[in-house]
Amino acid sequence: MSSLSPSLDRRTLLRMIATGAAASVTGCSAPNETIYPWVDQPENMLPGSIRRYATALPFAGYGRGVTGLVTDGRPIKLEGLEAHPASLGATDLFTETALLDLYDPQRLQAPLGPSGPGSWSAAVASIRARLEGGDGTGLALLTGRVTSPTILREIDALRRRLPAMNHVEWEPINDDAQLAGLERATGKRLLARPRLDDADVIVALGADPLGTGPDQVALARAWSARRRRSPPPRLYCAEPSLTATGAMADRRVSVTSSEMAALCHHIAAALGKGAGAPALPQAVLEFAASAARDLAEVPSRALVLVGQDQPADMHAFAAWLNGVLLAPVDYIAPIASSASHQESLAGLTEAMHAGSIDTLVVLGANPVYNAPPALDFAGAMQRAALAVTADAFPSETGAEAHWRLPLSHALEAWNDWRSTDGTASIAQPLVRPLYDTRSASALIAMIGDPAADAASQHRVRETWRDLDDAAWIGAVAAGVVPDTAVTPEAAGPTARVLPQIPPGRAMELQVRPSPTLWDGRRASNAWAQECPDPITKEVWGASLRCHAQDMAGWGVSEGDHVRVSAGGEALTLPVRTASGQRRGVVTMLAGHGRAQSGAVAEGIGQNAWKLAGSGAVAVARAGSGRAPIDTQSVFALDGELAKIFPIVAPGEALPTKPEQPSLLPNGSPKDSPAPQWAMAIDTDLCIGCNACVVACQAENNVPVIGPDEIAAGRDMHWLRVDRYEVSEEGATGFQPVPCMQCEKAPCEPVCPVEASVHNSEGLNLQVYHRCIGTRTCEANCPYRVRRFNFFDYSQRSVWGDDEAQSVSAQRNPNVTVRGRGVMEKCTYCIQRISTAEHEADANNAPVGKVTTACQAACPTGAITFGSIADVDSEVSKRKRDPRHYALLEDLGTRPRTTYLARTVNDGRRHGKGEA
Amino acid sequence: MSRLAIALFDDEGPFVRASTRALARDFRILGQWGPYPLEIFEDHGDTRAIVWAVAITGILGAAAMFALATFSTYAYPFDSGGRPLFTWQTFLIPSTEFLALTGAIGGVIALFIKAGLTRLHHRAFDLAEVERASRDSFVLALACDTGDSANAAVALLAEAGAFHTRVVE
Amino acid sequence: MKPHTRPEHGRQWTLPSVRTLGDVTEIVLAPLMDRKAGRNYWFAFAASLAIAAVGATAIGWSIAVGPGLWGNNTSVVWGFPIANYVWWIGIGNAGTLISSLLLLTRQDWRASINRFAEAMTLFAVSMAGIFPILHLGRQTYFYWMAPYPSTMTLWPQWRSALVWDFWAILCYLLFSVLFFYVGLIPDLAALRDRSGKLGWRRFYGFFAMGWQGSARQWRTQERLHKALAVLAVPLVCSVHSIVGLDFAASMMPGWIESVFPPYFVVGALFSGFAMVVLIALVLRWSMGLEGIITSAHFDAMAKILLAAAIIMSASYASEWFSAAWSGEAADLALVRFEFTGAYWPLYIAMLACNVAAPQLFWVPRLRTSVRVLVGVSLAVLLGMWLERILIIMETLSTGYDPGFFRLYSATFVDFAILAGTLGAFVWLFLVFARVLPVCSMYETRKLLARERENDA
Repeated sequence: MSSLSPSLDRRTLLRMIATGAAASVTGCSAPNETIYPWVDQPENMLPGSIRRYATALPFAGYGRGVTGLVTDGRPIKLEGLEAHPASLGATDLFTETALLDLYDPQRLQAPLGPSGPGSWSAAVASIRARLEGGDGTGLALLTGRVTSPTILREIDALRRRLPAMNHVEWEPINDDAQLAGLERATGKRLLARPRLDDADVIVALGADPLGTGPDQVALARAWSARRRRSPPPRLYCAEPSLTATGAMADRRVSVTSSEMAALCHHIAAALGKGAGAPALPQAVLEFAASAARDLAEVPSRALVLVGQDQPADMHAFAAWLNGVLLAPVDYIAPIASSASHQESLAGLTEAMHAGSIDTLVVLGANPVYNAPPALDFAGAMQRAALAVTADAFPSETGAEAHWRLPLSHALEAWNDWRSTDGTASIAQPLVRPLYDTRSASALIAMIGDPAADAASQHRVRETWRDLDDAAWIGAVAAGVVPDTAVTPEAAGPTARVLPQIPPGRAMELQVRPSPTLWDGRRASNAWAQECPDPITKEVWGASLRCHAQDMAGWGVSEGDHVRVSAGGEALTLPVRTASGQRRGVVTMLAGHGRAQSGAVAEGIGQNAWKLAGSGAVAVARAGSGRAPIDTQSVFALDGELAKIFPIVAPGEALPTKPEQPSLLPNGSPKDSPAPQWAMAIDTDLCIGCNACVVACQAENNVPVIGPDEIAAGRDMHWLRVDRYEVSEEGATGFQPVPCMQCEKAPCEPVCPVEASVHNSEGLNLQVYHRCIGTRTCEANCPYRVRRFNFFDYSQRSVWGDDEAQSVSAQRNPNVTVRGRGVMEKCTYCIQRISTAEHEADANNAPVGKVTTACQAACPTGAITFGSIADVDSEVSKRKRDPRHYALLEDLGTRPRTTYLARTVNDGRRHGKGEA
Repeated sequence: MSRLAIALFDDEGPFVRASTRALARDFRILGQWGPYPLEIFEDHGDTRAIVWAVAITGILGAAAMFALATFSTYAYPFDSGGRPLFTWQTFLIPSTEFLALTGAIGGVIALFIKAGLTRLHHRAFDLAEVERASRDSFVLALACDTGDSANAAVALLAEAGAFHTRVVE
Repeated sequence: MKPHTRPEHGRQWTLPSVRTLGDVTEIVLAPLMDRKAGRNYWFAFAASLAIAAVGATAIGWSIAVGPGLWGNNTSVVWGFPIANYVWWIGIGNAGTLISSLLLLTRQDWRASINRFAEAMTLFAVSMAGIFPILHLGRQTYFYWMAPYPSTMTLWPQWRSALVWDFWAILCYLLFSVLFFYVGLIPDLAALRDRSGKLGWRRFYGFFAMGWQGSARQWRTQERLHKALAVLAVPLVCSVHSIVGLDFAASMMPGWIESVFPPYFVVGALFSGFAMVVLIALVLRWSMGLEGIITSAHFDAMAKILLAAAIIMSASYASEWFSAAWSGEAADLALVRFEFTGAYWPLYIAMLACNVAAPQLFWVPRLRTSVRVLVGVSLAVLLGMWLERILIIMETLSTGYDPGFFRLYSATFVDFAILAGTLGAFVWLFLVFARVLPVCSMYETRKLLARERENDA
């Protein structure tokens, strides 16, 4: 496709960006077609200085507020937006990776018609030609979840002209089951919104509130807020396969789907609300008893959560039980349409097969890839006389369409979205469109009226005409429109529903959203592909997670390939044993196996959507093939190794160790007038979401190196998140490992050329231009935090043959781009420290607060950073916590990055002496 | 111009015998050459200078290296893993290595000077017999002032076991 | 080392067929002066040059593209280059030790082997010297390790073992050249006096520097040779100690061991002697040196190999013992990894080569069997190379932080570079054997004279 796209080299791109900067950054005003070079530098626009703008990004249709960091007219980093309820100042992986999409050379750059490159006007004309004179019969608009008031307004406007048109929303990961379940329990189609910060006991039944999803940041923030308070809360988790929530649970059990349902019966029975006790393994029974006891113990402060992929009656059960428990759950009417996505799509496809849809417009949805294969959506598309898709990236659906139109990145256009709680954001662009792209609302408007203004600001302003100009500017600048959150409604009386126990199956398949790629729409993103799965640490693909005994039964070992088949579909992929996997359940991550998405994702993994919903599957050995690629191979810690990741009971202190004796002079850094930078990471709050990993990558120009390099054992992420299982307790948790910035750094004295030296503020510096690449520093680093440029990674492209020069526009101008043969590592974001110090110098003030990129990203506040010269700083306080420890303390390296131990409150060791 | 008597020996025994007798008979030994070094060669001058040269240049080299290390550490001071600046223990290591190198260089220079090497042309090379010293024979040259003494010398050498004698005018 | 007891009667270091001093000269110089190189020679010459060219290509490619062509990864940041370096410099150990330590301990039998052993040192150290530079990420800046007033006003970081290494290699190589040369001067004079062609006469004559073999020259040369030997013994030991310190001056399990410096010295001696045995066998067979390299030489060298093997075994045992005795988790984990981890077959092979194979030399008959000598020497060379790569792989693959355990596997380029240095080493030796006397003639003459005295 690249040959059809207008070629764009770096210079052109930068010129375009600079042009955009003149218009959009200074004024955020209407499109300005005139180009004025800067004869006089605008005041306060120093090259390289960073300005922050509030805006928002969509995820699965919901808006999430972000702060865009813009320098020289280029957005270079996205951070959270404090005022937005789905961001709360933090980010998740999807927000962090979204920035790369803007500069991704795989993006669709110009309309492509049936006879080659075309224009927007030609595309719109061909749609309109089919609608001419009609009432919209035969027109179907297929979108993802729509919460945008402007898009909804445009669809309404279009429907006024074409009343018979059909609009269908399709998300493969949807709330169908929950809406149906709540309808059963309450009679209303509602969505539950748990208030985790009010919950002393949480029982997650196949639910992954701390895992990936549109609400991850808000839920994780609420959970961590509660987790910091005493008395310690307790998180129970029953699930077939380990998730982030399971990893952070105080008590966890692995169950099949029938055991899950049976578990509900047991909990109900234990609470005296049910009868009958289906047979269950002892461990599940104990779990049920313990969970029920805890639920009953804290009325109105206990909560049951059910996962999105659980059947409707499980959701109904949860609604009933939460009603009984007076649980801290709010119910709201859905923000988007409350129609069932599955049923809507099935209805549309049926109509398409029947030939009653002759014009299909697909906007940002990819049903050819992720619709149930039984629907044969691709076949149905063949029946349409005109199929038009609009998306930012190539897609399987786009490949089947007559017209493939490029959508603007969210940072290139005016948009609005509503969050999961209804809060609306007006999103301003941070850069002029880099290519010939339009926003989704513009396309809908153009279908209705080809003369519609392509520029999006007026359209969004029109939606919000209730706001006067001052309120409009205020809402844009703040990133949220005040008082737009939906008021929770009363669920009313709930019916008692006990889930039907499905028949046991020999082998059942669970399909989960990928924590890095979601439903597959993030698969083209190289940062996302290279970001390790929180549980298996796999990158660039995912294997089938199995229980070791199941694998033995099929006669396969780690990395062998198996064939998973159900209902005429079969996939061949590698297997791995995953801890916490229920025997009899195999788990696949959705989002891989993209066939038409650009060079990054193509050919990687298998498309789990083909088997989703089939439940029972057959698994058979299929020989060997390419092994899965991961970044961590040892998870279990036993014996002495457990010191790496201590686990304590609530309130338990780690033994204090006397200062290590040393032959070296021990100056006290705390006497120094300069700030003494340090970091403290609370492993009890880290949910392994990897937002920090990609935040660091974006902030520090860390290159993407691709699957082959990672398979060779190489690695460039400056910050990694290790996951450990302390086998004795069965407890697990995450440990983010940036540079430890040791006071007695072992990497420094071994460097022959002073590329690794210490500064007066306690930073272990790496002087790139001085480094000759002996790698002795990494050889002598007990923490393995240094990263070596084995090739000229910053110049190599994982984007296929496309020259990735556009990606270089994302680079932070305040961070050196490292060349071949140079060692690099975490610097505590020294560019941010320097900026703060220069500011302090200029204002003759003490150095203000410095926030590292990883800290800014962290949704749970697990990472604190600051000066330990200030005894009142947050980081100093954490370092006095009884759970405080340093990694490999015995080595005497005196790390500045230290940890707080994970606490597990499983009720067995230190609790009430009951199982 | 005086004469000299020159003789070739194929073994060190006769050669040593001839040398000892020649000295006893007050012949002046003009030169001794051999295919390998012998203990009696020790009489030819004091060679302890070689050892002194090695020792002095070596120690000077080591001291220079140590000084360089010390100087450079203070010329650009920086904190390296909390180590003190003057880590003399580590400075000793390159100094020791350098001691051996500079000592060897000094020794070779001293060898050239003391052994008269680098003189590619020397009167001894005019004597065809000297060449045999590099192959298989010991060579002894005695100074003779008169023809008679030359004859006596030749007789002495032959008697001691020379397989070849000659008087050079 | 205890002086080898000299038998009261009989010749053992030379055969009776060698009668006169002139015979020694003839035997050694004949291949240079009289005989044309045979087909075998030219075949070996071409083959070694071709292999060296493959290695040179691999090196050139690595320099052009980057160290990413090798198996090194973020955890095992060191790989073949460092192992090859340590191995080669270890081989380079034996030549100088034979010359100096055996000279000081009056082991006269060294006379017929020290020359090619010293040449082996020069070539091996040259090969070794390639790797520390090649190994760098930015090879073009290797000179930043040297002290010079740079525009950055920065000097070398004297606390780094790599700077010590830089000086150790540099000093050792240059010292070895001087030591080699000082011993070579009398033989150069012999070549000068024998050569037919004027060009060669001038060539040898220039380097002989006007050596006559006069008493004064002998005296001075011998004095310097001994003085240099006195320097050489500690130098050799320090060089290999410093190589050991590259690892020991760290804090990684399996590296931070005070036994490393002596253990590296013995290990170097071990592999160096194995290489000397191999070269001696090849030279004796191909250049007709049976008269001056006798089975007694091999017997003596086999005993040294056996002794070194015992010390090596003790070093391995001390590592296991100290891990068990200290109970240090990381050390114990490393020992467990050695025997049960991913590399265990290599570790067992290493023990078989370095510990088991040399035990054959307890049997006197086997100490002079050519087959056994070749087999054990090859085993020791292989075993010592395995030991070096294992030291790197095992520690760096595991280390302290289980979250970053990574295995290592070498690439084709790694093997090509290793093979290339072997080819270049053999090629250099082939050139050497046609240009310079492979045995020290003057020292062998002296040895013959002493032997004849004993015989008489």
